[in-house]
Amino acid sequence: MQPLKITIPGNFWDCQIYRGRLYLWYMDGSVGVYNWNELLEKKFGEIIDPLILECAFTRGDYLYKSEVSKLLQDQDIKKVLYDKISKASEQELLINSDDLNGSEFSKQDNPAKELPTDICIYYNTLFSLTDSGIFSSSVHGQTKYGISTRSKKLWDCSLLSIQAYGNKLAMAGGEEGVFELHRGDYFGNLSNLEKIENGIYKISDHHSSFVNWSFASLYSSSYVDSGFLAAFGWNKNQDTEKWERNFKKIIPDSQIFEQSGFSWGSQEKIYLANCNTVEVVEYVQSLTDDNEANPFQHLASISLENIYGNIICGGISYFGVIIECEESLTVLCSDYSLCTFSEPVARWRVYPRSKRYENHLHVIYENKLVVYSFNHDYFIDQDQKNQGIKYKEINN
Amino acid sequence: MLEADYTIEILLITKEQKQSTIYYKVTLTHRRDGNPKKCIWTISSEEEVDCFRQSANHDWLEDTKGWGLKINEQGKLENIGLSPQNEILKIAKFVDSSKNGEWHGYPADYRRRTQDRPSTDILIKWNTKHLITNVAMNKIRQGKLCNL
Repeated sequence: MQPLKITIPGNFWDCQIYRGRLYLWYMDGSVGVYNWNELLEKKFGEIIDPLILECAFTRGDYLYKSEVSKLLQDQDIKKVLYDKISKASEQELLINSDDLNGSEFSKQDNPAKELPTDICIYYNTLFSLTDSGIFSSSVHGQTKYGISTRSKKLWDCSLLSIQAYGNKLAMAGGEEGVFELHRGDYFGNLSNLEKIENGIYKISDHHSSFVNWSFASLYSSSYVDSGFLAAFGWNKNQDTEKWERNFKKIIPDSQIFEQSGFSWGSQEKIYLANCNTVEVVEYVQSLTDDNEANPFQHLASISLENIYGNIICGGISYFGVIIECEESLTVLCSDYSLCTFSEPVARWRVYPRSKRYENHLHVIYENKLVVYSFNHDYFIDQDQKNQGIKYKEINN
Repeated sequence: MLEADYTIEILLITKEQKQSTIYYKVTLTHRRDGNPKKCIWTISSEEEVDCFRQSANHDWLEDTKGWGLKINEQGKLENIGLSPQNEILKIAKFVDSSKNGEWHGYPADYRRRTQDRPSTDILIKWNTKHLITNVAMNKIRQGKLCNL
């Protein structure tokens, strides 16, 4: 099954999608915020099946829901849905600047003052990394602009990448190492980590290009050095009866895989690419302290025979494993199909932590943004897959 | 072959059409016989000075940091140095570390050192002159390998 694809021509630096709004950072330093749902309804409401449009682009969680996934076990229903998605994926979907203007919520100067190295949005807050440091601004508030013009500097270190989870920010600082910033109370013992300043801790000195959360742990990847797992775990405090997050140890990728290469991980999956294969292991955080059991179970070796060029970056979402080469981007889909986009990529994003855009892959090319929607993973047995994170429904 | 450090005087005409003098020090540290842990120039010391002069003339110097490229007649970027890991480098970094108008430089390893990444302002200037693509600009800021 091919992904659905929406092309938005323009010179973009970065993008985010959050709570029904598309955020676009333009190369000229401006940021546009657009009503995503309205934009899609106006532009494609009459040419794409409304159910498919919704599931593919605005409610990526819908077909994962347990009450719906039961329906997908019915072969007739599955076939109808599969055919509809396949038909929609054949359409060329284009959003031009007039379309964007028609659904514009706001256009403003970038509050971080310079093009950010990385950004993330979490709990109505935008975090931006620049040479001057890390900044936070509120988003989706009752304000004139989509991003509050009042930004707050959280730390003045120049960093490469950021990932938020709860009230914690994990940050990759290149040769400076990996850091965590805690915004609020932290429950756990951090005495074995170096405190940089209030609420900021150094997790490791090792080079880090980007980090991802693996449950309470962090996986750090480097474009120039080896990767590693900064293993944390949960322990119950006997006095307070509260669960506390404690740092356990650094586990280098050479120990996890017993070989070297470029490695990356998120949640229960860790991948390592070398010349010919991608190795996959499953990480069980609760076994980190167990002297008898191995927290890493080797799942598979995936052949890279159809991928050409040096691998320069990797990522994971539910729908598959993303592999970036110098001149292309490939998705090793969870249904074992392969999807390659043969064009140099400026930046790409997946949103596995979002509630509605889990199936999106946003790719910024030289002069366009393409929003891909992958929809094969709804039909996959989540417990059996090697290529992608297991989807687990969270009941709010 | 360079046998000792030397400093040359460079006369600049500022945007306001005023004359200004700055100095550039060519050092052995970033040459093949220098410190093996440092990035090294693979261009001649005369070309290194030309690279700096071009940066100054194009307004690619910012406060106490500056950035340079070696551009050939086809408008393509040429190799200027090697990292200690023997990887080809194409971006030069210049610093006025004593803040006294005496600059020195070295090939920048932007993938290994975050401070070796040119600022977005400089990258935009290069992009506007079609010296680097949007893709390269974005990747450099992320510290990712790219085709320059």
